[in-house]
Order: sequence, then C-alpha cells, then structure tokens
Amino acid sequence: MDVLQSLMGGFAVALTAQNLLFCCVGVVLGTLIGVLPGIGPAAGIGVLIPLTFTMDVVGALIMLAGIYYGAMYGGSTTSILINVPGEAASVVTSLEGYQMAKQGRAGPALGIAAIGSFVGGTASIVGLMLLAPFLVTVALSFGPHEYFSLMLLGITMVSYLGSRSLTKALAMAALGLILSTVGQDPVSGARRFTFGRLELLDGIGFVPAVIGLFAIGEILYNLRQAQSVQVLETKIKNLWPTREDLARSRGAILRGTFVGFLLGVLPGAGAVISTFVSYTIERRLSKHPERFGHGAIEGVAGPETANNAATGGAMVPLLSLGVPCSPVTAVMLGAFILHGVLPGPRLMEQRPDLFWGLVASMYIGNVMLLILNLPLVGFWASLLRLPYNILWPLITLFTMVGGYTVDNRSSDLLIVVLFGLLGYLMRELDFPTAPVVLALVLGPMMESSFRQSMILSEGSLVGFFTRPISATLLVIAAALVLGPLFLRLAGSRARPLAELTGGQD
Amino acid sequence: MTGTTQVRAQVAAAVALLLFGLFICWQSTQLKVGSPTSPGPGLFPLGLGCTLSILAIVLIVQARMGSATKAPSEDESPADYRTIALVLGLLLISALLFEPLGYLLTMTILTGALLRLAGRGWASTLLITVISVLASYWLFKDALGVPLPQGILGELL
Repeated sequence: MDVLQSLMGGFAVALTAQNLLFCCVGVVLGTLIGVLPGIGPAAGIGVLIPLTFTMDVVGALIMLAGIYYGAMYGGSTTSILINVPGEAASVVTSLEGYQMAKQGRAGPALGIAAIGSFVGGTASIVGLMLLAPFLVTVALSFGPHEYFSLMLLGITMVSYLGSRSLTKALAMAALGLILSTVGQDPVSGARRFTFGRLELLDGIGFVPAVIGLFAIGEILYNLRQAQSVQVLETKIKNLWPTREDLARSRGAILRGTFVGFLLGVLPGAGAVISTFVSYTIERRLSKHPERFGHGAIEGVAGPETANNAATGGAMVPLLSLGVPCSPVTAVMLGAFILHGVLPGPRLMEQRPDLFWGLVASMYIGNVMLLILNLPLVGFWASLLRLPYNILWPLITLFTMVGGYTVDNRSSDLLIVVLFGLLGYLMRELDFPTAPVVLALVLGPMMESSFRQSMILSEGSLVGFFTRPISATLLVIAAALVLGPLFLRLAGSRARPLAELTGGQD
Repeated sequence: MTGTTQVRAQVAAAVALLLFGLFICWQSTQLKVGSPTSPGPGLFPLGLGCTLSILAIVLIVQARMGSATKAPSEDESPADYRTIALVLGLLLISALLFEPLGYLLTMTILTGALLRLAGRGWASTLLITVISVLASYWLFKDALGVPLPQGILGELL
C-alpha cells in the first residue's frame, strides 16, 4: 500500500539518532509545559521556536510537534493531583480526576489518563496519515477564493466556539487581522502603520506577540490573587487501573478518540472543546450519571483521550492545506514559515520526507510519552512541590529571553511587554485571546488570497459564491455569525458550548 | 469588580476599540485603497477598520444593556493590581535596559526583583537568581549558540 510505503520512509527519517533526540526533547519539554501551570503549548512552542533556528526543519518540527501532544499528557498530572489544570485542555480532567485523587485513587486516574492519551494520540495519527493525503488531492483544486473562505471560516469557528461573546471574539479577530497588516506591504511596498519606526517595517513579530499575549498575560492575570502555596499531599500508590476501571473506560476512550479527532480537524474547534464534549457525552451515556462529580473514571478517560486525539486532527488542515485552524497550529505554521517552508499540498509533493518523517515521529513520541507518564509520573508530580512563587518569576525570565532570541532585537521585547499588557487586559475584561493569535498568523495569507481573488474575479465579490467549495465554507461561516442572532430574535437564547469553555486552546 | 465598575470597564474597552477602528480607517485612506479590480494596500485594513468599528459599537450597546458582563467569578478578595503594575514596570525596564546593560545584569535585576515581589526571602532570592541566570546564560549562549547582548559588562571585562 502506498501509505505504508511512505510511512516506512518516514520511519527512516524519524529513527535517526538526531531526530530521536529532538523527539525526546520535545515530548519531555511538552510534558513539562503541560505540568507547569501558567504556560501552555502555544506560548511554549512560541518561546522555543527561535531556539530551533540552528536545527534543520524536520528536526525542529519533530521537536515542536512533540511539545504539542506532550503537553496534552502533562496537563492531566496537575489537574488530577492538585486540582489546578496545567493547561486549558486539562480543565475537565480535574472534575473527576481530583475527586479520584481525594479518594486515594490518584494512581489509577493518572494511569488511565496516560493510557487514554496514548490510544487517542496514536489513533489520531492514523487518521492524519489517511486523511491528509486525501485532502491534498482536494486542495490541489483550491484557488485563492477557497483559501480565503477556509481561513475566514477558521477564524469564525474559533470565535464562535471559543467565547461567551461572539461579538468580542470577532472584534479580537479583526484586531488581530489589523495588527497583521503592520509593516511593509509585500505587493506594493507601501509602509502601513509603521509611523516612521524602522523596527515595524517587518511587521509585528508573531512570536513575541504570542509570548506576550499567552505567557506574560497569563502570569499577570494569575497575580491578581495573592499566591497560595500549592502543597502536594496525595501519595501516588499503584498506577494501574483495576480491571473494573479499564472496563468502564473502554467506551469512553473509544468515543473520545472519535470526538477528539473530528473536533481537531474541524477548523476552530480543538483540544479544549473536545474535552468538554467528551465529558458531556460520557455523562449522558452513563447508566449511573450520579457517579459523575465524585470520581467517575470515564470522566478522566474520555477527555484525556479526546484532547490527544485532537492534536493529530489539528495537524490535518495544517499539513495538508497549509491552513492552521487553532492558535497552537497557527504558531506551528509560524515555525514552518520561519524555517522557510510552507506546509500544504505542494509540500507533500516536494518534501514527503518532512510529512512522513513528522508522522512517524509522532508515533514514536506517543510511545515515549507513555513511558514518561506511567513509570515516571512520580518525577513530574515532585515538580509540583515547587512553589508557584518560584515558578512564575523563572517562567517570566525564560519567556523574556525567548522573545529576544527571535531576531536579536530589543524592540521585540517591547512587543512582548505590550502584548503582555494587552493579554492581561483582555483576560481582565473577558475578551478571548485565541482569535487574535490565529488572525495575526493568518492575516498576511488571508489578505493576499483576498487580493488575488479580487483580481481573478475582476473586482467582483460574487466570485466567492459561484465557486462551490468557497460558497459552502462561506455559508457555514455566515450561519455561525448570523444564526445566534436569528435565534435570539426568535426568542430562544443560543449559548451553546461557548458558556462552558474559557477560550484558550 | 462590582457590577457598575464592570459595566463601565466594558464600555471603556469597547470605546477604545471603536476609536482604534476609526483610527485605522482614517490611516488606511491615506494609503492607496485602490479599486475592487485592483486592490491597493489600504483596502484590507480599511475593511477591517470598518468591521472593528461596527463590532465596537455593538459591544457598547451590549455593555450598556448588561449582557456582556462576566458571571461573578471566584475572586472575593480585591485584585492585587499593585503587583501587576509593578511586574509590568519591571518588564518594561528590562526590555529597555536589555541591550545597554547586557543579559547578565538585566536578568539578574529582573529575576531578583520578581522573586522578591513573589514573596521570597533575601537568601532564597539570591540563590535562585544566581543559579537561574547563570544556568540560562550558559544554556542559551553556549549550549544553544544564541547571541546575547553583553552590554556594559562586556566592555568592562
């Protein structure tokens, strides 16, 4: 089979000593980032991108991808042990996981989280492997109209699904798009919004912006309350879930895999939302729903499987179409660009070693993570004995340095600080941050697609609607924006998942 | 934040966004907007500025009607704005001093100040600062080959 042959080639790439090392470093860093509250995969990848400049692009991507799915393993550790989610995709895990820990069952909770993560992660890579080449053939018929519509849908979805207020989210997306236009226009050479400052000629670097918005903003917001010292009390006894636990979790893991992968592929949805959906499904399907809230292991198994499955799914549009549909994949696209490579259909043709090497490395990475998170979970847990008031100054130190190392300009540090302030204000005023990041990264591509489309359609907007794929995408986007409006006028309040999620991916 | 302060804050934020959107619209018209058949550099920003302005107006309306307020959150204690402002100030200063003073000096000052703000005692602050700044310096400069500014120290040594 063609796929298997390509995969073998991928393993040949991934199994070199160097790439294995990068994979290992990536998954370890990812677990660390997942465990540490106050920094998530988007910010973590952003900070580490500049450090990959000296590496070759395949190795760099292997490492950065490892951080992404590794964080999904690590986040559950803090959720279960101290009821503080390491990152947004592990919030739901704490609902049941922490209850289990209080009952002395932290071990099985951690165990099933690791097992579920492994199953979900691995299965989603299979999905990625099969779906991406198919989507590439579809994408070869994509023109600028289709790309523009897809990106618009992605931004709309992130806004719709990730925030209590669609208006706020769309406003933030518009803001992000505006900020992406700063700098020299590639087509005409005109200087936009630079106000005479040389440093702005290249635009607002997305790495410093992401670091500021996500890392610094989060740290500043966490400073609102006086720091309480986290004390890890629970001892982790036997890690293995009982036979009964496994039997209960089987269905949850299976469903979590599908839910996670589907929501990962869908533009705008992603790991965080998949955990909420999985939890809701498990509770609805359970024969004993009253167990939920008191340590129901399915409530750990399902969401943890889902968030890992979502990472594989999220890589699908990024790698096959070149369009990221979530903040983390947006940052990864930035990593590609900084290494001079553009993902998408052409990349699959020209550099199959990159795609298949990455896919193979993800299989390997998941195995590494299973090992790291089962026997070695005690080590990660001991990290949690470190008081937060040591952690956050150190995290701040590293993120500031990270901001500088992108281009060795201290003006980037100013961007970090300014976006940090912005990120703090946004959290304080309940504005979502995810749309800004996605818009900032997609902005240049969206604008060039738009301009090309207009030229091709000779100035007519109708062109977007006469093409079937583009029209479908735009109609869905319009439905998301206008739908709630109509429902509200009709009397019912449409506040679906947005109520439950907090915004970040 | 109390109810009315929240509403005022939301309105203020929305007004700020409106002003920004209008500013962008104005600036975009200074650029060549072009025409639909041949879009210029000002077209996209103009459209975005208009969109943002409209959304901001909607937000002002929503805020005044009270539908944009956050559900009361868990923070019963008054927010520690002083610490946040101090941290921001420290970060700003480090950003400005990073190149003139160099990595080692700036990061030592920053890390030390942050640890003190975080409530660590002098002894633990000193220890952690020295270890982390030196370790990170070695990590970035030697292990990863990242150029870091030497600043004043570089000229003295």
